[in-house]
Amino acid sequence: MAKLLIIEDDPFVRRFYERLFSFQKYEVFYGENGYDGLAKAKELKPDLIILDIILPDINGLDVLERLKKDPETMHCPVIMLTNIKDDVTIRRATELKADGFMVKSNVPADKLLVEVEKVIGKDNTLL
Amino acid sequence: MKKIVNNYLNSGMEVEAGNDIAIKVIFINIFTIFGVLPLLVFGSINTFVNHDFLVGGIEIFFGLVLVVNSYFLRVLKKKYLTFAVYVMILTVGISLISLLFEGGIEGTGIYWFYTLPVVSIFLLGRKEGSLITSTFIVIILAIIFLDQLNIVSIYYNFVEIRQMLSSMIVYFGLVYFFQGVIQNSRDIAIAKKDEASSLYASLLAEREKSEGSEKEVQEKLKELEDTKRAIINLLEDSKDLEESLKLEKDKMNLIISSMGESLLVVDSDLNLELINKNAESLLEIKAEDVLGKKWSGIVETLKDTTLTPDKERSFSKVIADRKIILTKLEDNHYYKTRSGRIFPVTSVTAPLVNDAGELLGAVKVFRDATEEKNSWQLIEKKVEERTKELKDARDKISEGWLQLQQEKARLTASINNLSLGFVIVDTNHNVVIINPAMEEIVGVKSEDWKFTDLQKVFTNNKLKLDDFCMHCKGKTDDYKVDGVDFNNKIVRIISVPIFLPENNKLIGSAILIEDITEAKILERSRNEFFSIASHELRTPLTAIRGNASLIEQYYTKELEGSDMKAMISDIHESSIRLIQIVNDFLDLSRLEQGRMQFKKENIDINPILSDVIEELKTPALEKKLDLKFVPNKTKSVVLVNSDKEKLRQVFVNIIGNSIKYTDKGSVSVTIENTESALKVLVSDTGRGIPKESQNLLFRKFQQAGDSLYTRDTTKGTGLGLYISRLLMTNMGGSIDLVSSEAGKGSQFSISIPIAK
Repeated sequence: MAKLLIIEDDPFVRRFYERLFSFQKYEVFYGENGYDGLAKAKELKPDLIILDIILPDINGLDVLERLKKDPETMHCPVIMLTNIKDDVTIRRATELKADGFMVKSNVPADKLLVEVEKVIGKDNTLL
Repeated sequence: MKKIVNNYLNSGMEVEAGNDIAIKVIFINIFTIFGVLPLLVFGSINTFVNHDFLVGGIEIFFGLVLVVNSYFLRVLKKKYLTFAVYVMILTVGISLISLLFEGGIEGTGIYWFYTLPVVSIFLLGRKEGSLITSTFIVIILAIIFLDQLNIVSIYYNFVEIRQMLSSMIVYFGLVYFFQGVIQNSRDIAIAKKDEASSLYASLLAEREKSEGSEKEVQEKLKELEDTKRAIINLLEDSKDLEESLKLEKDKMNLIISSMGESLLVVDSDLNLELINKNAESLLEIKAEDVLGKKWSGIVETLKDTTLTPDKERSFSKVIADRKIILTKLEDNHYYKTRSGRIFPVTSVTAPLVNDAGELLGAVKVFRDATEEKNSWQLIEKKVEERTKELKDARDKISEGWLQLQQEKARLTASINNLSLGFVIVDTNHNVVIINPAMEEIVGVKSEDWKFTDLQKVFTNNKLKLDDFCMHCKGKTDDYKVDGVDFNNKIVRIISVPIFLPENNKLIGSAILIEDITEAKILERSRNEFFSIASHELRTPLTAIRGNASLIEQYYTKELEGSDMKAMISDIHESSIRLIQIVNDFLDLSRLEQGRMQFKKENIDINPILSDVIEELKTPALEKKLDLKFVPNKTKSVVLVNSDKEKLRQVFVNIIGNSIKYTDKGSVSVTIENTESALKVLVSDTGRGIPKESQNLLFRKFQQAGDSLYTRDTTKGTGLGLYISRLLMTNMGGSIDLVSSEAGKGSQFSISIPIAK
């Protein structure tokens, strides 16, 4: 069972994703903030990290940068899932080697699942 | 005759000429009556022959002097007269004295001539005559006296002295007599004529009365004949005199009448003595009517408009004061003629006084000053006008100055109360004006700002003041720097050249500094607001939508047969719509602020359209609409230059709208190739757009055909077309409504520029 780490501070949204992915038989973990997320990623080595940008301590882009720089976590795919959708942010995330960028409000649940499946599947084939 | 002489004398000309004539007359008579010259000639020759050389020589010399002098007087008239007189005085004087002291004068007979020069001078009307006469008498008396006292011894006898004195008396008598003859000859002649006429008349009467007294008549006739002869003699004398006088008078009249000025002469009683032609015509009178009459009755004098009393008139004043009077134009003297004509005059009135100091009358030279007066008045008027103009100009200047002061006060107040920092620097780098707001921004207060002070402040802020004074160096464009840091503030600096409006001369620069710190903060916070708001709004919406869709998906069985299913569906739909509205608002604010970023690239639109069609198939199927797409069928792929995502957004909006507003039939998408663009045509068989609403179609918050109160709120915010058009315009393309008919459908065209 694939391990999924969701780094998201908003409990309502977090709980929704937990439910969504649980229904799909993923093993879901979550980080409440940036540092918590980083720690969990190192500890769990998840198959996919879903990362929000606006976080209470350090922002999602900084978290992404650290994840991609840390040899322990750098191979772990990261999908940015946020409500910030301006071009600057998207470009920055791409530069920091994010594996996907999705806008929460624009992506229906089924589409999100398809995207996640794509990344994990791709990863699996690589493995 | 007296009158003529008087006129002649009173005219003030050549008084001596009268004496000249008198002298000639006297000499002629002297030589004729007493035969002095033959006597002298005979006496001198006799003496000379008797070998008395001294006396003979003296007598001949005397004779020659007399002849020469007579020649001077007679032929050359008054020329050398004075010279001749002095020669005679000298000759007689020296001879007299030498004879008295040396040889005596006994038997010489020259006593007759002793007083000749004296008489001549006397007749010339000179004081010297009486002086010399008395001097001679004194000399002779002194000689007698000194001889009697035996102080000197002189050969003389009293007979000689007596003869000499008596000859003097005779000469004086002659002079008196001839003067009297000249003056009275005419009167006497007239009197004699009258006498003769009356005598003749009485004789005739008597003859008629008594024929018998023939003898008496004969005597009377003889007496009459004598009288007549005497009259004729007298008349002949006076005729000569009159002729020469007439000659002089004619000359005078010629001069007087040819002079340009008008001339009047009055005697001391103010009777008119002389008038020239000019004066006659000016005063509208004839000489013969007015000569001898009172001057005051001939013409009236006005000062301005009031009549001048006789005593005040210049002739009267001149006669009374013996002073010259000048009447000038500005004295405003006028003459009023008998016909009532009034004209301005200028004149010179002068007294006529002879050498003896006697007042003979007065002369006036005047002219009609109408023309001068007119030009004078014209000049006065001009002067008045100019004065007024000058005054007006002065008033205007002072008014202008006042306005200028007010203007300045207003301007200063405006500048000082300006919230913008304001400074004017002239081309000589002087700080002309600086306002408190500028001092506030600059952070320095000073009474005496210098360009270098200001430069320092700018340099401290890593700015060059000279950049803002480029106009001083001849640049004429505005210069603007926006959002620079200045003394911990964010400012906008604008520099504007100042020109003189009349000649476009550059005189300096106005530098404005606006503190835009607050505005910048506001702008930043507004931008932050949008991104935060988007995040904050969308996050809970995501949860709502996500949960609703999870229920719909995973709890179908539990919901079956209850109202819950519909309720969850409504929640789900509403959340989707709300997300769409938030998205629209964010897009709109970004587009309007120009903060939307476009990632333009060369792309093929076929796959994008296929994707969109695929996505929209579900709603089309739900309405049982036929959604058709005909891809571009050119041989090679035509690429357009555009932002893929934005283009997709536009396609979704336009095609989605067509599906939304079409209830029956089809929505078809075709592609048309033009030279510069690809046109995506979206046609539907929907309700169409009414003509009157078509031009409102692409406006903000506009739904075609709807007013504010009849909005179909289930169909969006009315921002879709507006945003789509903004997006396309920003990408160099366009969206247009090609055609639309109510009830039949519409066609939209999306034009995208072809990649170069």
